[in-house]
Amino acid sequence: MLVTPEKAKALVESGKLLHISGAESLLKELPRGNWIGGSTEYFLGEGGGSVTDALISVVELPFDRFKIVSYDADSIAGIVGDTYDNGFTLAIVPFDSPVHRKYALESAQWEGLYLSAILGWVAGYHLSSTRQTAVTVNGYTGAVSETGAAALHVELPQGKTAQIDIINIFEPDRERPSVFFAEDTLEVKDCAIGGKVVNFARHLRENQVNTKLPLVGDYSGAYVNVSFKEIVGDTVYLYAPVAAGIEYHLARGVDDYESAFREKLDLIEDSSDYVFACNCILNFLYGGLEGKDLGSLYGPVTFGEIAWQVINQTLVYLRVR
Amino acid sequence: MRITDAQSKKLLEYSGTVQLKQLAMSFALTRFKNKYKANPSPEVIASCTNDLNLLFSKYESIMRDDFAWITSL
Repeated sequence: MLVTPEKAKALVESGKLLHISGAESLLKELPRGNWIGGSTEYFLGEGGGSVTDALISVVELPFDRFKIVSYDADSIAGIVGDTYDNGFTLAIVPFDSPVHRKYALESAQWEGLYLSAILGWVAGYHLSSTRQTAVTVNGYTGAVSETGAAALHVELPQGKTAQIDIINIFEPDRERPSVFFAEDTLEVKDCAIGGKVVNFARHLRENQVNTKLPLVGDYSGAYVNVSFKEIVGDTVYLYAPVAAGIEYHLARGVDDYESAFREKLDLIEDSSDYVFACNCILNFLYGGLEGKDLGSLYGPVTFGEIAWQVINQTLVYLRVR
Repeated sequence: MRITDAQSKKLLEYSGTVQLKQLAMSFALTRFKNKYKANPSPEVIASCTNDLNLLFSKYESIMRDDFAWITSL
């Protein structure tokens, strides 16, 4: 729910376990307590998508066994070992920070990653601001960081299971040739398209590819998106890494993001066990989601999503069943 | 819910349409398929069996459909 800073302060002071997202300046004013936070001014809430630096999104997490841990780029790989045997971990990393790059590039290779339930998001800022920075907050210590991650590890009672899932409105356009990459990377020069090695930037320009649509990777039948950041010279910069050995396609276009999300959300049965959700800022912007109510999955609009690994243009959600 | 090395081998060599429901299983299988492609050894199969069985035992309540599909191959 979106609340005033005063209400957020009162919730923190009540001792509840909270996930908080909001403008950097508002997060910095909150007292210490049982919370983690990250900066964004974009939200999906009860009244639809909104942009505000006056309200804060607070998600109450009804769990009483937890630990809050900060990580930097050198320690982030330890996040897997810190997870509870039965539980989930909610992590926030600041956009374009060393810990963001490290998590994005290396997490898929961490032993035991998929045996834990790790989700989260990439903190950002208002896109028209030149003065803001993406920050995370370890509310327990009060540490605000532009370079480190804040993670909340929650232990669930016996008989409860954490389930992370995604809603991806994009599908691969199989009328286009498949694309393969030689290495896990955020910056691509060459790739293999239709069996031929080509410069990816040149290919995108020559074929006038709409780079508002993501690359869709096929992970054993699950479609996982990587978004285009920018093309500079002969290099394509991405918001999440492409991976070696994965077959990618450019995505098919989506006419109406709101309807596409609603159709997928309607397929989910009983929403009473949702704990947390976040959605990508590129969906928010390209899909015109400001003012559009997507249903009961509320939370921050983010500069990247974490569902075990960093992904893009996707709604990630957690339920505890 | 446990799979055998023989079932893991079938899964790793399967090239048809994959019908997994849990994203963690899709990510884990993709990782093992890549490992197996680079090194098609009994050790990689055994490691795959071990990790998938850990997933089944940890997330038994949400992995039943994926277990049923894998064991039907």
